[in-house]
Amino acid sequence: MIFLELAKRNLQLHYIRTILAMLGIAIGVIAIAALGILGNMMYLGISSQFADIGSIMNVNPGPDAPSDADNRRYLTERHLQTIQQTALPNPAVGTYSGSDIMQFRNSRAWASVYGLSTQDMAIVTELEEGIYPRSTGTAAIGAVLAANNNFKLGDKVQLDKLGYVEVVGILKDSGSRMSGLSADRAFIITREWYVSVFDSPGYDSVLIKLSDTTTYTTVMDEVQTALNKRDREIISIWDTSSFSDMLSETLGQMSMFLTAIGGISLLVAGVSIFNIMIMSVNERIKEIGIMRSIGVFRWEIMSMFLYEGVLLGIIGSVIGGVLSLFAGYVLAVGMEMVEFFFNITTMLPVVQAVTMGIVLSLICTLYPAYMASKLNPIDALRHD
Amino acid sequence: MTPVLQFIHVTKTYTLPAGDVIALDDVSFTVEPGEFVAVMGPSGSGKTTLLNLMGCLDVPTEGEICINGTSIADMNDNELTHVRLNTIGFIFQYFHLFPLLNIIENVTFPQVMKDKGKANNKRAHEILQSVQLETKLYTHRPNELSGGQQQRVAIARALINDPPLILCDEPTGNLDSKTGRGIMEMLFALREAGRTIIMVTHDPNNAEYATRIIQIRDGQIE
Repeated sequence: MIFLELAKRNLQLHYIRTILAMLGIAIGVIAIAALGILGNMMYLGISSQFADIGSIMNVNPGPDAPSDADNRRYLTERHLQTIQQTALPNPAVGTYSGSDIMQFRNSRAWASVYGLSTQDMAIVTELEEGIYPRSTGTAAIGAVLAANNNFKLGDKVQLDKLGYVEVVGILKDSGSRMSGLSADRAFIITREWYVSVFDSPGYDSVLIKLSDTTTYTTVMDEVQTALNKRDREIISIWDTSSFSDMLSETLGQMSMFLTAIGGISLLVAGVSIFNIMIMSVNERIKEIGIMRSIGVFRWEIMSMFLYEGVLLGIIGSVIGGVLSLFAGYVLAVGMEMVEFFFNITTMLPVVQAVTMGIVLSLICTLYPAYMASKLNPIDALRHD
Repeated sequence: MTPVLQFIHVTKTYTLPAGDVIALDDVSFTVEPGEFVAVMGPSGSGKTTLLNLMGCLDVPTEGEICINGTSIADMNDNELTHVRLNTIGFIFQYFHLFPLLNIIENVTFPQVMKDKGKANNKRAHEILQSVQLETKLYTHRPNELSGGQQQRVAIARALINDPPLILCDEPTGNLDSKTGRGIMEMLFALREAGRTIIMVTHDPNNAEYATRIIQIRDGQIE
C-alpha cells in the first residue's frame, strides 16, 4: 500500500490544488445530484397528481349508443349489468351527470351534479366529513366547492332545478383527476332524486374501480368485446395506459435533460482532474525514473497515479453527494415538495452522481497514469 | 565462481535523425564477485551508456550482457525490472531520495517492492546504523538532511535487498571533499565486506579506492 500512501502524501503536499480539484468534482456531483433530485421530485409530484390514472376506468356511451331527443347518448341498465358481469371482480358503478345553477349569498354559479346509488358512492369517492346522501334534498359536495364557498355540514344551498339542498357530507380533495368522477366542484345526490329531477333516460357513464391497475388493458378489452359487437361502438373507453406511458416518457426525458446539464459541470471537473494529473506526472518524472531504476514495475507506477485520481474523485464526490442532499432538501422546501424528498428514488440521483464522479475521475486519470508508466527510465532519470 | 557481470562484445547504437551514433563499440569485460571497479573516462566516452546497460535500464544493440550468469539481452521490461529489483543497488550522484517518504521509508522502499509486504524497519535500522546515520534522523524527510547524510541514506537503500551488485554514479560528485572521502571509505568498507561495486567517476582520487579501473574512450575500453 506504499503507492496509496505516496498518492495521499502527494495530494497533501499540493493541498490547494487538491482542494480545488475536489471542489470541481463536488460541484459537478452537486449539479447532477441536485438536478436529478429536482427532476425526480417533479416526477413524483406530477405522478401523484395523476395517481388515479388507471385505477378507475370511465366507460362512456359510444357513437352507436342509444340517444334521447336532445341527441344525448346514454347507457342502459342492461349495458350496466353486462359491464358489471364482465368487469368482475371489479365493481362497476352507473353514474348520471349534469349541471345546475347554484345560488348562494347573492351569487349564481354553475355546478356539476352527479347521481349515484348511495351504496356506490363510497366506491368512487372518499368522504372527508359527514355522510353520503340517502334521500331527496341532501347532497355530499366536493372539497373545492365547499372550500371556495365556505360550505359547512348542515348548510342549505339553493339550486335552480334541485331546489334547496342540505350539505350532509363533504368529499376529500381528489386532485387533478384524469379519470373517475370529477367531484371536487360537484354535488353528489342519490340517483333516484337525480332521475326524478333531470328526467335522464340512462347512465351518462359507468365507472369501473380496478383493484389492480395493471389489469386496465385486459378489463378494457373484455368490456369492449362484450358490448361493441358487430362493428357497433356502443361504448368508448379512453386508453389511459398510453397517456401514462407518454407522461412517464416526458417526465423521464425532462429528468434526463436536467441531469445532462449537471453532467456538463462534472465533465469540466473531469477535465480539471485530467489537467492536474498531467501536472502531477510531469512534476514527478524524475521520481518515476528513480522508482523504475530501483525495480518498480510499470503497473505499480500506474497504480500510484490511479490512486491519486481516484482519491480525488472519492473524496470530492462524497463531499458533493452530502452537499447535494442539503441542496436537494433546500430545493424541496422551496418547492413545497418535502414529502417527495424522503424517498428512495429521490436519493438515487445522489448515488448515481457520486458513482459518476468517481468513475469520471478514474477515467480522467487513466491516460496520465498510463503515460507515467510508459516513461523510459533513462529519460525519466535525466529529466530536470 | 559465476561472474557478477559479463559484457561480451557489447555494442550500443542510438538511432538519431542525424544518423546512428555508436555509444559503445564491441565492449567486453568481466566483473568477479567482491571486486570494486571504477569506470573512468572523459565526457561523451560512453560511461553513462555503460552504466545504463549494467543497471538493466537499457539493452544492448549487439552482444550479450550477463548478470549473475543470466543474459539480459532478450529480456522484456518486466524481466529487466525483476533483475533491477533483485540484483542491483543504485547509488546516484544527486542521491535521488523520495521527497514524500521519510528516511526509514526511503530505505525500506526497495524491500517493500521486493517482498510486496510490510516494511522491515528492524533491518533498515541496522543498515542505517552501519552507514553511521544518527537514529534521531530516521523519521526526517530527505530535505532536512545534509548532502552527506542523504548519500548515506541512498547507500542504505541500495543495500536493503542485499543485492549482489552495487552501481554508483559519481557518488561523491555532489559532496564536499571531506564528506566525499567519508562516503568513499564507506564504499570501500562494503567491498571489504564482500560486496561487488562498480563506480562511474571522473575523480581519480575516488578511483584509488577501486581494485580495478576500466578506462573508456570513444565507446571502447582502453
